[in-house]
Amino acid sequence: MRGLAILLFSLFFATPATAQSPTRFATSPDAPIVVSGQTIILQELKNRALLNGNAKLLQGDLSMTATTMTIIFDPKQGDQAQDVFASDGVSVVDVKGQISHADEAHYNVAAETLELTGNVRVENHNPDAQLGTAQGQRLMINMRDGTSQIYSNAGSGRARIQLKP
Amino acid sequence: MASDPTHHSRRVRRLRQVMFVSALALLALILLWSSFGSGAWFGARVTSGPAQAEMIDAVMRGKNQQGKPYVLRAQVLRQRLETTSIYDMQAPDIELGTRRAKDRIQAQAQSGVYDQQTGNIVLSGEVELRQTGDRIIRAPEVDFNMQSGDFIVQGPLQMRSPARLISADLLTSTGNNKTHEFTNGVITLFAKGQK
Repeated sequence: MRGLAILLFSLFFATPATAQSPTRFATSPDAPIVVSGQTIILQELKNRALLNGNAKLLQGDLSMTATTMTIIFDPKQGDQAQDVFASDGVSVVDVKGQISHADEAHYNVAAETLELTGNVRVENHNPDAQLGTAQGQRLMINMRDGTSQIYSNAGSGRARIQLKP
Repeated sequence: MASDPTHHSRRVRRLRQVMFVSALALLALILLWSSFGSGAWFGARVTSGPAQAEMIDAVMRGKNQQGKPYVLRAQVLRQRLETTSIYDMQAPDIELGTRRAKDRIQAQAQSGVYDQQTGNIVLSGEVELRQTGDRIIRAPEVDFNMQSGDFIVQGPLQMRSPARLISADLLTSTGNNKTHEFTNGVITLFAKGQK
């Protein structure tokens, strides 16, 4: 049976639980970041841009969609992006077929990290990939090398990864 | 030694003449300066016909409601005689704010229509609007208000600055709180060294 063919691992760690994701995300940290939305409100005095309606971020091999996004610009360097915050139905997709869902996301452009929080679920639709699904409360993606870590809630003590046989 | 009384009175007369001419020149200068500030047009050549008055290399200087100085220039300026507050401009060139100001705006276009009553200028044909901070907006049409500094840009438009390019269908911008609202916008954020 196909269901039996899937091997399930539940990984237990000290609270909060952490699991090293057995797959890498396809990232392009040196590519320009392209962000779009139905409306973009650029507030110069607050050094930020608010994107509403089908907000989308694309950077090379990785894209992120959400209902709303906020770009924070470096106040010293004017139009240089510092952080991107996404909320409400966040999805992150890479060209290798990995789709991650979460409630919120924070892309720290300078630190090259993408953090997904709240009901995180990673699905791998690439038939050659080892990872099936992963679930947790926080997923941290290193945008430089594509490695990731998934964390559970501080109370639940469990992050779950489902591997393909 | 006694001085010559006729020589003395001649000197006084000359001094009086010089003072009179100086006063006239000063008055003319004051009038010229005040008319510059009040927003009157000056040009190299003025011709008038039955339907319109035309001015070549026209210049107008003034201050808007917020006290910001502005300069309007046009290669050719035509005043519509049926609605005297409206001017048609060829190759308009606008400056709002001083060179040192942080929110200075410069705009150039192929043509424009200026309503002196409302302070509104509709610029069209390869409009280029430059703002402080090396920001350039390029669009086919810009509706610019000299009094408030607000503008509406009809797309397809591009707003380019050293680390950012924004493309959109429409931009509504307010001068006071420096807020720009783009419709169907795409922002390209460049990392350091990228263009």
